[in-house]
Amino acid sequence: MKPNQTKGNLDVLLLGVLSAGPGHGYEVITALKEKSGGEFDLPEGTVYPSLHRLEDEGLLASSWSAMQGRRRRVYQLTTAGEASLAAGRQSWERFSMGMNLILGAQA
Amino acid sequence: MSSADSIDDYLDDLAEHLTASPDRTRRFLAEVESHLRDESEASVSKGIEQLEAEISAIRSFGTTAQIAKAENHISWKSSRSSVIAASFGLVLRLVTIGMIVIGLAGGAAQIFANFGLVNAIYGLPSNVIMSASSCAHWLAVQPTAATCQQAGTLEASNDLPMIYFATGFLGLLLAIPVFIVWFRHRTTRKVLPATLGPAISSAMFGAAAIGLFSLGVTNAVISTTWGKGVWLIDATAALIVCAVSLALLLRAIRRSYVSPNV
Repeated sequence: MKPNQTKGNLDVLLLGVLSAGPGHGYEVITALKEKSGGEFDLPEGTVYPSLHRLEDEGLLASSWSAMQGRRRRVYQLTTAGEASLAAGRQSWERFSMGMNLILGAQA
Repeated sequence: MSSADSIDDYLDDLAEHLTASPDRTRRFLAEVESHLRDESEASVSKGIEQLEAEISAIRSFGTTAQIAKAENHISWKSSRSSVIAASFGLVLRLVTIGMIVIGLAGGAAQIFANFGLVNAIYGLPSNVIMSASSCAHWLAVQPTAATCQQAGTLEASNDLPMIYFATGFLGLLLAIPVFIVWFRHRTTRKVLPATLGPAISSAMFGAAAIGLFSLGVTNAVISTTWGKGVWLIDATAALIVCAVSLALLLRAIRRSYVSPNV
């Protein structure tokens, strides 16, 4: 997938990854790569500002946690984040259904 | 002796590019370091050499300019409202101080006038050519005056102190809520650089002092305001505030260069 396509959907992707449970930035990025089979490969550093923005918007909450001798910021979905993810999923389903109808019909 | 590695160099470079608040910057740098060390450790565990693993982790993370640009943008969006509120508060404080200074200058002028220096303070310049109607009006409202010029001087000595005192009084009224809000929101004071307020204040009052001094030297008449002494007292008041602001500015600059560990 092109980086711009990934960036356009990054918010809902991050919320989706964190819906499985709390995680720190490195875990989120690793999960994003692994779950997408390597499709979502963007400059890893740009994910952190997106996590911060989602937190500013109240969709994520975070706290420090010490793991393996290192301080890590652990993020988790808030109730508003869960609602936003549900809305994002519905929107994506409608969009992909429309894409499939057009592209599938031409195939 | 420095034991900095590639990741430390990267973090130093990133820190220089970040414009967020200190707490936000510290948090971001801690997250980035944690990420880069996790990534390089994962590579080392796969048999890649330490230095190569660090460089690879940094390359995957993105350039410092790219990452800082994204983080700075988010940080600005999150702090925009507090920056605007702090700027508005700063303008209000400067206006309040200006109004109080005008009141004090009016008081000083009145003290000099009470010591028999009415002409020196409020005197209408002799080169002012006034219309017959203005002259008649001033003589009517100042029946003790013998000449138009004297009437103009007495008129200024009546009106200007009232205007100055009213401005100073309004400034005092405004100062109560403005400074209460300022004291209560001490943490938000750090939103703007500590040097900004004194810098603006010294520039503003310094420019006012130069302008008012010029008006005093030329004994200027602006609309219905005149009086060499008035201009010079105003200039002196502005100069005093400018000097205090400069002292505060120097203190703020000195503090910004002194390490808290010293």
